[in-house]
Amino acid sequence: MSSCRVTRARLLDLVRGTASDASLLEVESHLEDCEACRLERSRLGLLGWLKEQPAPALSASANRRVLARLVEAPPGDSSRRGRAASRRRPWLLAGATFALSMVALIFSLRGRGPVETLTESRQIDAAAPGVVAFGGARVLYSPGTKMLAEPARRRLGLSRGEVDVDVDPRAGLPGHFRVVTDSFVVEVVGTRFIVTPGGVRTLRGLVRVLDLTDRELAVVEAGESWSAPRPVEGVTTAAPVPAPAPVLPPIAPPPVERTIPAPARARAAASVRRDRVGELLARGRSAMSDGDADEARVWISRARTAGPTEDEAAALDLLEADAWLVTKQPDTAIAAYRRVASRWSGTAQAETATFAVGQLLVEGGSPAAAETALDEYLARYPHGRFVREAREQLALVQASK
Amino acid sequence: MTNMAPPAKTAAEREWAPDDPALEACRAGQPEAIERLFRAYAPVVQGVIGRLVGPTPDFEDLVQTTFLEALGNISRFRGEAKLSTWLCQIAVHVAHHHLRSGRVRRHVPLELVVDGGVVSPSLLETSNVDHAIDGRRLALRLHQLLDRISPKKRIALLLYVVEGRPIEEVAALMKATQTATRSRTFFARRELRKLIASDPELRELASALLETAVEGRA
Repeated sequence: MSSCRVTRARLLDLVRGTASDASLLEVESHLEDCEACRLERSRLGLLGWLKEQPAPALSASANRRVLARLVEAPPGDSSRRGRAASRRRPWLLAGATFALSMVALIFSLRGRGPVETLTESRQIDAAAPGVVAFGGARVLYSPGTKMLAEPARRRLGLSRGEVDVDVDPRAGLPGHFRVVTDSFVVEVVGTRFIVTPGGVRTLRGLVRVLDLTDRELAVVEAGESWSAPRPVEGVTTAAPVPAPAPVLPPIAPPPVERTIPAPARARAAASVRRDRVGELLARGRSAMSDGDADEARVWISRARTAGPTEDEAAALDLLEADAWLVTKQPDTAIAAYRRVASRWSGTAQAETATFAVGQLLVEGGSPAAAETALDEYLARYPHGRFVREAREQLALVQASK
Repeated sequence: MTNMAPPAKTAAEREWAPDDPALEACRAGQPEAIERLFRAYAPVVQGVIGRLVGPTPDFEDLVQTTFLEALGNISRFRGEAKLSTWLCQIAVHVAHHHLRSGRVRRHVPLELVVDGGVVSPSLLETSNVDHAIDGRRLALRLHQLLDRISPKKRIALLLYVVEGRPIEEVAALMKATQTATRSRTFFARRELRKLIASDPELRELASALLETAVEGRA
């Protein structure tokens, strides 16, 4: 009979599916008499199980999004450029002027040495065009631009003027690069776009436009532009950048100038009348598991108008909080989970939400707040469903202090 | 946030030759060629990223980053290796960079909670269990344990055992020597064994799931 050492080496081949028949027989024979190796097999079996799972893949909509970002705005495709131009006359002039000024700027800056990289916050009130780099982004600004660059927060506060931002997705920096104006926020993973206080135009990739409460207003893809709505008369608008601004009055999300057909949304709208809340909720969950928060929100919204019970309403609120996570807005997600916990106290959803707050705070690197939240979870749900995970997270947080 | 798709092995059937005109078109930034490249090789890249990093809301970003990286460097692809191997090398690098950053997000999505309760071994005995959900939970838990192993060791182990690649290929993908790769898989296996041993719930969940799978096959 083979030794434990030899058997354990062969177990790995067994899991990989590369063991020969002879080797397999020897291993089986050894396992009959060796409890320790049987235990080893059961543990390695988990990796074997993982191997048997189908390869992970993005959902169809996520594939479309990635592809769109990869193939956006090809310079040689004149037909697409022509169609886009006919829909965006106001931007044509502005864009052309800005592009010319940027070309001039690039040429004027060439030969002046490397671009200055900011490591500390700096207020820039530019009389002449310039370029700086910080937070994984290269920012070209036009004359008359007033902005605050905050490298530590990967944030640019724009008070006036125009900036052309090129964010490198490969910089590997945490969080999203943000440009904050006094009425909206532009959030980006990796792309190039132009922002003025009046709107944003995406040249490459995709950006999301949020209001000052992090509510999504629009998703602007390459070749599209978005204009900020005019402030409502008599309402105080936001404070100057970069100080945190008061919230703008509720506004309807302005339409993106070129609306990409969204078949999922159309299907949702057409079939809603014959669906029950439970079914709508299930569809929302299914969309969410595909990573499609937008579609999930459509189902959530429809379900809310279809007269949900208390339980269903709590589940809908929880699902909506999950949607913020999918769209990578942890702070908004935390706020949403907290609302679920307080509004639906006593339900299973409140418990899930309470734990989620702690978990997100751990992931977000807020140890003190995470500790408080996890303690709160354990105090409220001493026999809860996430007790073990909560204790583990708590131990990690305490160990990191 | 993943769907299950056919295994990536079909990509080999449409492997691009180094002198494929589509490669030149990709170098020139032609959208149609880029789309062809993505459609042909996305399953391979997604498979590698998904298996190395596990369930995370950053999956889409990582896939995108891999292709951006590839397109940015495609002029340097000379055809010494297959295109799929070259892309996998980039995917491994992207996954390693992400894991090393220590900011892997693993929230518990709602779909892992069934009727107000997280799937437990006892639930597995009932007939109305959605096994896909159990599987997701198990995969999530396993990757949470793997998060505690150093990224290099973790990647070596997963490429060798779960992806089933020969040790020479794992070494090439990780740009490491075969000796170092063997050593990494050995230590990763040892660490994982200890971690599983200290996690009774995972042990039970795994044995229940494996038993269920065996019964299902019987």
